Amino acid sequence: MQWLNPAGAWAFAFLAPVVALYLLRKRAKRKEVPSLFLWRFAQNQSEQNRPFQKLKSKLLLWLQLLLVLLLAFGLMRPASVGGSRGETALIFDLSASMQTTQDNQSRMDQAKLAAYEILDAMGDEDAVTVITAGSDLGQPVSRSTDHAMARRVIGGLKAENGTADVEAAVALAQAMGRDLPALSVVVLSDSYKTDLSTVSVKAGSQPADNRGILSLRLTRQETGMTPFAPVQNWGQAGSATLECYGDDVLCDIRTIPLEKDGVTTVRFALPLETEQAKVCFTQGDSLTADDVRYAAAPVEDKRRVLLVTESNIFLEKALGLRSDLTVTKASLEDAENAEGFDLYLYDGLLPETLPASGALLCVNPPSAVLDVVPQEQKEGSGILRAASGEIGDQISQHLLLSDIALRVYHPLEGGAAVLTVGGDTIISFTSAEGRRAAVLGFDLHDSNLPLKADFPVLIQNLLHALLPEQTARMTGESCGQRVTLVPDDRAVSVSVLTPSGRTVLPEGTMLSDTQEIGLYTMVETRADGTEARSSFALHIPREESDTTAVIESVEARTGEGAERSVGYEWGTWILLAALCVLLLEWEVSRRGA
Amino acid sequence: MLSDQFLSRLDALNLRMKQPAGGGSGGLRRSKALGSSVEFSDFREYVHGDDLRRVDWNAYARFDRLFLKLFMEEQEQRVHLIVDDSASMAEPTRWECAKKLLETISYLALSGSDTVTLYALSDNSERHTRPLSGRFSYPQAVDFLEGLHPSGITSFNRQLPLLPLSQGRGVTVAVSDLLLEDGYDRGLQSLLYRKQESCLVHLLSREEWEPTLEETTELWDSETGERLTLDASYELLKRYREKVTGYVKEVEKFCLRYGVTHSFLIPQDDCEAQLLRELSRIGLIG
Repeated sequence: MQWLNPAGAWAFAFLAPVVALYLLRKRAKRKEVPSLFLWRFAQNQSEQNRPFQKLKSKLLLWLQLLLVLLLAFGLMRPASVGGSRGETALIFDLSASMQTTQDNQSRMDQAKLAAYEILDAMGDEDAVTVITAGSDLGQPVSRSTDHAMARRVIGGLKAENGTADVEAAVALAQAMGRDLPALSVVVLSDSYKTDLSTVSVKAGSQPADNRGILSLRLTRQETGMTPFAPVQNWGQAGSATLECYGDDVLCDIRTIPLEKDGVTTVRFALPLETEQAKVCFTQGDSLTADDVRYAAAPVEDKRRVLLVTESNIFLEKALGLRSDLTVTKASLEDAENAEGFDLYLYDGLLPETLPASGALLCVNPPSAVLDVVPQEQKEGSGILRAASGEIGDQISQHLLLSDIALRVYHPLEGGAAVLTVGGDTIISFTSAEGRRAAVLGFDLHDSNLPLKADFPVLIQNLLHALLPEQTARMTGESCGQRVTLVPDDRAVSVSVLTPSGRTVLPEGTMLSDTQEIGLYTMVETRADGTEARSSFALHIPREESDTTAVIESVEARTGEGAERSVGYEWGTWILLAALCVLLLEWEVSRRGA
Repeated sequence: MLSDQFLSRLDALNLRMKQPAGGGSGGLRRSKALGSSVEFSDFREYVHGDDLRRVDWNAYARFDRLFLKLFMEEQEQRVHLIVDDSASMAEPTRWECAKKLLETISYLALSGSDTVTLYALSDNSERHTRPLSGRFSYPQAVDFLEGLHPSGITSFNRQLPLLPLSQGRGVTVAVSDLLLEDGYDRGLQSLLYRKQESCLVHLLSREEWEPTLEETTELWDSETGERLTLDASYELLKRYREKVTGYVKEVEKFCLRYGVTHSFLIPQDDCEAQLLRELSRIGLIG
């Protein structure tokens, strides 16, 4: 049985005035009669109804009380549970903030307890769906009446280290609700806010003080490595002690004052050769996931460039702007057997055999470079334009391309156009045969481009496209987010070592197994069997550290969905019964008169 | 007390009896005894020693034989007037009617040279007058009746058989509301056994005949003090009226069976005229 309108219970309050009126009714009038002889006989005729007679004096009272009870029950709209069985969707927020612990109970534990209570209140025929909102949406239980199994699944849930897209989970539940009008959606979260009237939110959590390390950055100094760690305090003022480890060796400890809701930056000192750093609080707090921060030492990524040119001061200057490049100048003869360079820059020259690996930047090559083939020379005319396309946009980024003149050029066929003039491609980019190459179809001496400010920018853009960063490029720095890996062109396979030591293989260039807090190492295996390693750190999202902002529980308003979960509503029959009692009460009252 | 006007009306009336008087000599009632009254009764043959003045010479001329005329003996009637003196009779209208009824009968009886004895029955006291004779005794009857104050409980069945009635036949008029717990049958039957020409006047008040009750009423018995709380209802009042009607018919039926003159009266405010009508109807006066 369920009550569709529990507020109707206010009608029970009318029982009191009914009883009061009965008690305060006019007392029996006393009357002296000559004799009770005849009266006693008249009463004696109903001796067999004596109990009824006693009751009859209160019959009106009982009828009126019954009438009030029936009216109250009718207003409360009792209904049986059934018809369509009850459906409940429990959405669990698995974000990092659910790890917040107070009184030895985490918010996740509180959510589980709330879920158990909901399960206990459900009927045996009611179905439950469990949806998890973490780095991905999950649905470990789908419309199951096996509440024991649901309890086991719920018991096994754990808060993750990332954020949670609860909105998507609610949208999924609402999509289910289109086929299940009786669906009741309950979100168990500490931060989800909704304006939806059909969604209940059970928070059950209290604001908690917390402090967290926002980031950790290592800078290489002449005397050593200097980690910088900003610490934010969500809570009352106090102090905290932080430890700093270099390659798992405790190197520094600092005690800092913490202002109320303030940020304090701490600086440590590590040896110069430190490769990995870790900073952590000596004492835990309500949320320990943000009490530690990792960082990898910046890699001195010196790229080796072989410059093959007779003389081109402009190219040398442009290359010199990159401090991470080691430029080796060589003659064509010396460059014939050159290997091991990251970039081969041929200025008007081209060896008979191109190097087996490495990127290529060819200026006015006499022959084809990979799939880019220079055409017949043309007179330069027209305006240089950037070609549309991803690579064209990337390489022509920040180029003005104004007042650039070409005397002669060789249109290029093949590759992706970067710059064009008069419809002819004069700079082309290709990624063929597993390597990258950029070809300029003109001699720099035949152009005023080197005299323009666009020239060094163009060279940097070309270098950036030819020599991308070897560290992983990520869409974010938080656990739970997908990390896009950008391995070197020479890598034939890529794997990732997680902080716990597991080896995982990315899906293409996408790494989705990012729940662990700590340093990940991308291992690139090259064709020659050598390995290159680069590290990146992942931590919980910054917004999850603010454990002082919690939401209040919200109950869904009874709507059509709830009504349609009712089996049979008995209110009408009860009100009819009340009408019958009213008629009976009138008849009894009339007979009494 | 009866008004003078009413008394003057009574002077034209007589108390009528069904049976001959059985009282002592000197009355005005025809009795079964043969006597020297002027009322012819029968003939018998003359025997030596009879009074020759009583010879019917017409019969001698006709039959050539001597016959004597026989005449009724005129005697006084003994009238016993019994009033229920219990507390239930204290209802004002009823008591006033009872007193006037008895005063009426007393006046008529005394005016007719009958002997009247008044009895008041109650468990508190049983009072009666000495036999009263002559009209001049009427005030004594009035004093007796006016001096009564109904109280206590009456039992006809217990008290009537023990009444010190005069020997011989007589007329007994009992006035009561018959609200008697132990009944009335044996009491009235005892009067018949004692050769009384009985008359029962059953008085019920208007409230007793057609009661009105409020929703819940606590009734208080004036005789016993017993209390009874009733939730007045249509059904209850209906049963009560049925009971009252049935009781009156039962009394009437009893009286008819045993030859008791029965009168049922619901006293009105002006009961003198009512009494004349009723007493005339039952043949007690004429």
